[in-house]
Amino acid sequence: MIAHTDHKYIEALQKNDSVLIGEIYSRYSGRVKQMVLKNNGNETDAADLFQDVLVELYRKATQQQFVLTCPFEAFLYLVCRNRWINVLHKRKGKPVTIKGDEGFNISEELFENYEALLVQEKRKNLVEEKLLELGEGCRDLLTLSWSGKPLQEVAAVLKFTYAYVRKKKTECMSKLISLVKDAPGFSALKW
Amino acid sequence: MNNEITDKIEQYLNNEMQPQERKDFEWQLQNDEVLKNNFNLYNSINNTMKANEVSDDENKLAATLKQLNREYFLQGSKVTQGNFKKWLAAAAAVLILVFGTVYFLSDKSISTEKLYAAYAEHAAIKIQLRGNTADSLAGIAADKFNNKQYYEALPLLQEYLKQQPGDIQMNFSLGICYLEMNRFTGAEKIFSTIATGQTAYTETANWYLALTALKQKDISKCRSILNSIPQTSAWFAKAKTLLETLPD
Repeated sequence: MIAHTDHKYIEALQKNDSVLIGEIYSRYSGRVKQMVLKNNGNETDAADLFQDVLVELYRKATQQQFVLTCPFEAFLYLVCRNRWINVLHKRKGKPVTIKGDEGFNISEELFENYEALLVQEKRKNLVEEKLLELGEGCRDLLTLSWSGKPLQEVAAVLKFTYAYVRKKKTECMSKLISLVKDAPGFSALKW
Repeated sequence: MNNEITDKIEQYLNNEMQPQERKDFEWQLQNDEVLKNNFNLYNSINNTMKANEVSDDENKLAATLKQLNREYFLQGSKVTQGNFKKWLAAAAAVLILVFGTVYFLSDKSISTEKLYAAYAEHAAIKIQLRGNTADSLAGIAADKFNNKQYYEALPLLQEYLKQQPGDIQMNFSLGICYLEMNRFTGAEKIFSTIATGQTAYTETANWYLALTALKQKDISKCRSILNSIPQTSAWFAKAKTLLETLPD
């Protein structure tokens, strides 16, 4: 997968490069702000939305190796726009359409990038669903091990020996992987 | 997937293999499609779930973004307004200084995140230790919870509650862990059960159901729960202030 030159903005988020992040704001925040203001939101909503989306992109890049292969501006706008539709839907309790972006076209490239972002969300939902089918012992152990603690610390917290936790984690992951693989929507998520 | 394959993958990822064993495994990864798929799936699941954790780097990024937000969304909008509005903005800034928290809590433009942060003050777990196993578990869980280490407190509270299922304080605190970890279904389940019971936590559980809706940005649900809090409740005053502050 070849990264677009605009992937520099994703890297800027990862490195907390305030100069380039400032460029993201100066170039792209205006359009998002206008979209929110025209669609029942205020400046604070727009600021929260913009920040949430940038943090989400940071997470996808850092933890799930997301690579941008299309121009950043359209991608950022699409993610913000769809996120804002969800917010409005929740607030109003009914489906909404966005005013003022009639000329906005979604290219194939852009669609693929957005899908990649969504696939990761769907994967997470599936794993969380399957996690609930495991016993509590497995759920706790795996949740703790994903919290970034070394397994030695996890063992100490759970008051088990390291050897036991190590073996148990292997068993739990095996079960979880089997459950995920057997799920009906598994192959569509292109793991 | 069988345990043997998972174990090999973990040994490889944890650098627990001898050099030759590592080489063999890498050769297998290149040539065995089934192993390769399992390896990728293992990594995908781990990477997907690790995304829940908020790192220090992410907090630093959030600080940079907050600063820029003020410049481009909040102050920026004021710059484009007329002189009178500029004066109003300046007056509002003075009011913030003068009235501090009061102004903060009554500002309609405050985001739900900030509102949640302002209102979600969790009571510390207070326990009396008697020296048995359940108590030592409760002690560690309470320490973690009181230090806001909700990820770590959660499994400990679950383990403790298996032994002491009737401990309402610990059950309530488990609900708070879920809420702080954005696991809203778990939080709602606990708070709803407690809210329909007859314990010292009943009123507080209703308040927390409102906070759960607030954190999910479900303003209409939050409003409806707050409206149902009776005048006799210890949470009535807070509910009233929050109601006045909720965005439209």
